[in-house]
Amino acid sequence: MDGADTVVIRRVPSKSSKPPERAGQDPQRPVDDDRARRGGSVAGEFDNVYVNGALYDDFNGAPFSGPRLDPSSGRGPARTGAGERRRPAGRQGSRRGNRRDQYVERHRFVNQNAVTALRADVTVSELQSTGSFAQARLVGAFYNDGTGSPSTGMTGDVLAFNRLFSQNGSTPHVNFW
Amino acid sequence: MRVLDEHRPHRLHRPRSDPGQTYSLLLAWDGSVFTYGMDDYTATFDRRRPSLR
Repeated sequence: MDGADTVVIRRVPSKSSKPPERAGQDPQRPVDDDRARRGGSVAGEFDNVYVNGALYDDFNGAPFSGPRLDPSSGRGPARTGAGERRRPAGRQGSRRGNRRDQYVERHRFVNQNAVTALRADVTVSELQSTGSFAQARLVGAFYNDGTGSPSTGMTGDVLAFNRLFSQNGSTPHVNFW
Repeated sequence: MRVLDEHRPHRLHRPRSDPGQTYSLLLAWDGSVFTYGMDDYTATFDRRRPSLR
């Protein structure tokens, strides 16, 4: 799951003949796109994260929080600018924005290969998408179409997203991709 | 990474999301069909039969 200020999504479910499991990974990779250079930001919170139908993290302390969501795995390689991550009790916050590059903040599941279902409460508190694309979303790389291998990057991964987003100042919407 | 395919996004029945409101988002895959939803609404997408969704 992630909060991202600028995102390009061009991946979709694809028929699989050999689906080696890669479930639950956050597969997002920054893709160079002009939209990513115009700025924009989103701030919000994830809470009550369920995995495979069971509560996974409610950010209210042990036994949840921290160990099972790995924020360090999700830092966008293109980050250059502003942004802060806050983590009040009971919530996982995310805020990202910058003026020149794409920034993605992700939180991957420690046991991501066992994840086939995600649910989370998402609250977007601030959104600025003028000239850009801002979103907060759940992401799953649930299987591979057989052209790649789990040990060789993301080739062939089939991705799905459910996201709250706004593009260029539009009214925020939700969609599945 | 190779791009395999694209399809149009599926808008949920309640497309608008108001800033400050909390929404429960769902995303799942059962081995052949994707399930997605918001709050008490869910829908499915079968890549093999997209027109029957």
